[in-house]
Amino acid sequence: MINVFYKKSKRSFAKSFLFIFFLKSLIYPVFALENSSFEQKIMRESSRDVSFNAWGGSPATNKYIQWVAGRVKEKYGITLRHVKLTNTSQAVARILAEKIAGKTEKGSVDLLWINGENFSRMKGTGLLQTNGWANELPAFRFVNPEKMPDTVFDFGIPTDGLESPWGRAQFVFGYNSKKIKAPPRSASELAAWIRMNPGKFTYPQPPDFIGTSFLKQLLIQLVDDRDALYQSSSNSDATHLLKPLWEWLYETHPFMWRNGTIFPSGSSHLLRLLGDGEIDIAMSFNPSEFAHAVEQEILSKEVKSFIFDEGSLANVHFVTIPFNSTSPDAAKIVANFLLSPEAQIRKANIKFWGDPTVLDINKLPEEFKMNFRQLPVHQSMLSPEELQNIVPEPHPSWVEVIEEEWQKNFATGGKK
Amino acid sequence: MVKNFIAITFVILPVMAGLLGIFFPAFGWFPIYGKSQFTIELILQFSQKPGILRSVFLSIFIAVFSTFISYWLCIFSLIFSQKINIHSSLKNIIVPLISIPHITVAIGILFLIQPSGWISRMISPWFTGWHNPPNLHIAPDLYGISLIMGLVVKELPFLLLIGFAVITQVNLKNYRQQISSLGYGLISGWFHVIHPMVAQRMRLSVLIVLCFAVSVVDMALILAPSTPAPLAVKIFNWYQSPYIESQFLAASGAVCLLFITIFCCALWVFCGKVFGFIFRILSYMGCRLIISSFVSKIFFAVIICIVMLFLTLGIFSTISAGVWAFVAVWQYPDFLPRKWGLSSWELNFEVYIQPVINTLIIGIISSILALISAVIWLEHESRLKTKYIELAMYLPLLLPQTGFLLGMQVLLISLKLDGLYVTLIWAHYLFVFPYILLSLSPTWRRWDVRYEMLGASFGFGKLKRLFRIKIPLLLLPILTSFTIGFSVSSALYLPTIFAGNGSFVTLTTEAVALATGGSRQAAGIAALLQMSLPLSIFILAGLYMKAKAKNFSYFKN
Repeated sequence: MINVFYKKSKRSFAKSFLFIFFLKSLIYPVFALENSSFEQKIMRESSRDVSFNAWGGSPATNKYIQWVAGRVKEKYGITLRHVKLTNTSQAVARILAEKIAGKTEKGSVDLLWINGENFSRMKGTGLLQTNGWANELPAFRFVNPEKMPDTVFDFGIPTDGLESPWGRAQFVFGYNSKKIKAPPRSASELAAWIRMNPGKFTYPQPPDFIGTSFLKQLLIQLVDDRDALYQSSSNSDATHLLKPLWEWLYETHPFMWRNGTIFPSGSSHLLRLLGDGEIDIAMSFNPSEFAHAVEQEILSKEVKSFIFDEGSLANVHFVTIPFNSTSPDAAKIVANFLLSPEAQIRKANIKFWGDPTVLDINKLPEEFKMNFRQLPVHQSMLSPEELQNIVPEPHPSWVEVIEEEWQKNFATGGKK
Repeated sequence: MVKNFIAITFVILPVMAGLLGIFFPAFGWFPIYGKSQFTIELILQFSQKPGILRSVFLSIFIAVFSTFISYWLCIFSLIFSQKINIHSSLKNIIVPLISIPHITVAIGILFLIQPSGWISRMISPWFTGWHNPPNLHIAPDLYGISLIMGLVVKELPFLLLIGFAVITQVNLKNYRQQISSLGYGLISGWFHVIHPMVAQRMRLSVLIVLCFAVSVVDMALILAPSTPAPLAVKIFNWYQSPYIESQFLAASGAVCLLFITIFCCALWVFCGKVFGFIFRILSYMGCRLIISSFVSKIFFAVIICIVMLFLTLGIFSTISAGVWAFVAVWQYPDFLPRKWGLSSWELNFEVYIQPVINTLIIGIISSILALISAVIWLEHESRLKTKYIELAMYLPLLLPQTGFLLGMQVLLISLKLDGLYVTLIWAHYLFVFPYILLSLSPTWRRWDVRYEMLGASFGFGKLKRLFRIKIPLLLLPILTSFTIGFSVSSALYLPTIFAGNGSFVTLTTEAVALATGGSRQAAGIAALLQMSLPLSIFILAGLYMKAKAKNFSYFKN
């Protein structure tokens, strides 16, 4: 019966979909959780090869994607190929090159793991699908946009259903608890700690994502007028607003690793420095990163995590489908699977990856609720309650201003 | 004619298209971003970026200085090789070192010399008293010294290989006798008489090394300073930045890098001319360098030590990158890992099957194609001098990769050729062919025609002479250049990403991706596999030669 329903045109498909949702929420859990009619409808005509372009620097993530590939092969006969990127912009640049060359179909990327900056770039240059699709995925009903607006606003930009939430990222520090008894829990405490322990702190050089995030995290604490950060940078006197940040950095740089003349290239470099004992505090945008590194014995067991008392930056990462994807329908099924409770719970498990879920646990059926609550905890990772202390991302326009000014102040090789 | 046509269609046109692909955006023409007016504003904007001048100087300094060191170490090794046969002892280190990928060397050097690195672990804490790594300004350092070291480690073996091939070409022995009979010593005789010939024949290789050093990205990401970074790294970062303006900056930067490359080459050639001129004047005036044999001996010892130091550094850097594949726990200041283990392999092993197959297929096919075309090229050459076309074949090595590859990608996509295996092999061929040509041509050109005359007197046709006489006799250099070709192919990163649409994984793409991750173990496995392929090709080629030499004992060396 349902199949007959779905043979209608695309527009009515969306409507009927909502209708089915409504129906299903009434008779739930009589229906199976996996909405097979969705996949059937979508799979009828399209190709089943999906090229998933995702950062490939972490063996745990790669392994997880391999697992996903196995599952979607089993369930839907989809062949998922993981194209390992060193930087998402590589794929964005490739899609851009395809657009320039007029390749409007059969593009090389079907599904792309993406962050806010690249999303706004792709949305702005028309590199995404024309119609929103993400909010229509069956698994999206477990997402709670009212409670967690960052699942539909990426760095403050509305997603319009052009990307589907995948996981949650939050800014955390990791520290060596053997050397530090009480970690510094604010910008001023951190400055004091750096002075007391010369050479033992550094941060990745902006425009590295983690480095810029650290500066944003500091700025939120140091700034007088915090509201200005949530509007476009052109609306306020940026020079004046950023002044306390540069003062903080000018005062602490001489006491940092390599006296603040050189900075690590990225968060993985930072992690290695922590492991080698060159520094005692590192940072990450993945709350489970330190726990994971401890499990892999890259870091010693003494490494623990902390965040500032005033809360830490948090955002959501997404998957998106480019305008010229070869098999957009199969990509949607994969996106739906990535968002499904089955995939999300494995992702949240520290044994596999440890990336927090984007789903609202309260909206899940009982069995999954239980599973989520019974996820193993790790001593090197903060508890979900501690991680609740969140500050939202500033307006994306600030990123550019901060990075540009940072370059001017610290990367010209001139006076120090 | 055919040769010109092929060269133009497959090499020159695509490369030129790639160049236009950076020149247009640099001058403001990039319709997709809504800019289609030619303007100089973008170049001005680029020149006003903070720290740009220092980036430019850093690029020039690193390139010129690393090439300078490699070149003179190579030249002095050649000088002393007249007296002592260091060639045969070095030969077994040189080719494997050439076949080790740049990124492996960079990762290895970093782990060797950084303050928490292996050397520091060897001497701590019993000697230095360091229980924690010291806050020293090395690796990466502010002036690019570690990058220069890394580049010398990679480029010195290459120049030595070319250099040894060149001095057999100039018939050193005869000159040597004449020079000694005129009373010149080892060193002065070299500079007055032999050096001009050698320098001229090595010029192209040296310029390739120089251009590579200007545009190197993968090594620089690991070893170069970042406040500011060398220009090539800056371009790479702009290109990867999500802001639209950055694309224009990247294009302007690529144009600037092109001029820097030209400037460095011009500087090098000019200095070479001045150097040659000075010695000519000195010869005219009858002045000669007189160096006492004692000083010369000391000098010799020092140079050999430095050369050996760099070669050992190369060997140790590969060991230090590869050893991590077997490490479970290794913390400062332990000299050796606390716990050995293969746990990282379990996690990663099956992942490597596809990349290994791809690397092998692409490397072998592109090297064989390049080898065949190089042989055809060199065979034809004896009749037809096509100097400029040949120079054009070296363009892919002489132009900054970061620049022309993006432009080329647009061309590929519009021809619907992107992401095909054939395209990927062709892209590798672009870089493999010049290296094979370069390493094969000295031997081919000094080929003794009398063998061929002899063959002709037996009534052998041209093809028969080639296959029955020339190729069997030149099998060793042919296999050596095949090994070099394969290792060039297996280390290519940017071309693989661009031409393969990122959908083909090779060991290099895997290694670079893992090198950006946190796990040294995973990076170690990738590095180990990455160098194992070219090395096994090298060893196989060696074994094959040995087996061949048994039935051919006359040519055994």
